[in-house]
Amino acid sequence: VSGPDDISINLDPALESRLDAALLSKQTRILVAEDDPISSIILRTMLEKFGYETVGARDGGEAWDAFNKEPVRLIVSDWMMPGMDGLALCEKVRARSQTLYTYFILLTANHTNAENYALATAAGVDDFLTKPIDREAIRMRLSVAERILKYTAEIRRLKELIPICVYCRKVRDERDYWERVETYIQNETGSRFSHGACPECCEKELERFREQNS
Amino acid sequence: MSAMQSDRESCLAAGMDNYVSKPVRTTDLQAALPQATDFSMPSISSVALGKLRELEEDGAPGIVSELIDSFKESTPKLLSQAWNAFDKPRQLSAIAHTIKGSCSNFGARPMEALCLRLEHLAPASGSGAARDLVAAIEREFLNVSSALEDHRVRT
Repeated sequence: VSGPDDISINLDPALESRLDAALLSKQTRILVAEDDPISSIILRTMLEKFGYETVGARDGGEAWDAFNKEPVRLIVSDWMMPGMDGLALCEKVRARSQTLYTYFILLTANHTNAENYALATAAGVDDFLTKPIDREAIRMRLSVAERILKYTAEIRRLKELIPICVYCRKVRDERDYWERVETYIQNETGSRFSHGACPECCEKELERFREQNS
Repeated sequence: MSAMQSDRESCLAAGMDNYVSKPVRTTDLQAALPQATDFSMPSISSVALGKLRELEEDGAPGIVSELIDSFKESTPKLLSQAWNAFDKPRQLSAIAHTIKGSCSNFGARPMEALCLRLEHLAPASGSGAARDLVAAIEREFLNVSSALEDHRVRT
């Protein structure tokens, strides 16, 4: 049996502070679904010390009720729980309509086999952590989760309707500032514009120029 | 002295902890294993407790004491559920799984090993073996509890 003694990771302080910086939105709420009170206290204490707010649930059913009422972006869930288990919870989260992408971390025993990992991945689980939970291991997984959630937010924003002014054609960004289309696109995508004129405008401009000079 | 007895004597004299004769019978092996886990390692791991202490240093004072209290409160409840679940193998297995997860946080390897065995005990193996395991877990729980109390007093 391998245990906590074998998976400790020691980080140097420089890397540690970079990891802290990576956990950018510290106010992210995490739903913790865990039937064992000891593991639940440890996990929630760790997460809260990292700066997260946590919501606890003692089984899958309780976790689903909490999520359905008020969805969170991050779930850390045990696999085996009385009633609804971790996989069933994940499937329900994935099937909920009109829900932002939720990053789902499943807690597994250290002897979980490949077949079970495949089952969990198929249910929509994003990442795995073995129990007992190692503090550094979960901190690193959370930084990955944050990164992916950040990208899903960006993709969503780009796919959504972009508010544009009918008169001046300025576009409203996420901070409610009105920007020129060029500025907006460049900020969002990094693409830059090379300015030219389309044939239609070219013709019009040419005509205006001739009128002014005739 | 029978052949088997003299075999046992010479094995133990050579420094072995126990002896199971071949062909191996499940019941003999099962009887020998809890002993092996009971004696070969400490009830809790100081490394695991050290990691929990780190949480206190992180700014969660009193958490280790809180965990010990919570463990001593929740485990007997689960064990009494286990005593009533011999006719429901799946429920028994789930209870064993929960206790296993619980005690693993303290690095309670022997208790964890016993729980793992109960969790994976085939339903067909009958409630006799399950009863023995629950009793063994209960005994080991007392060892773990007193080791945790020792730890609490010392720190």
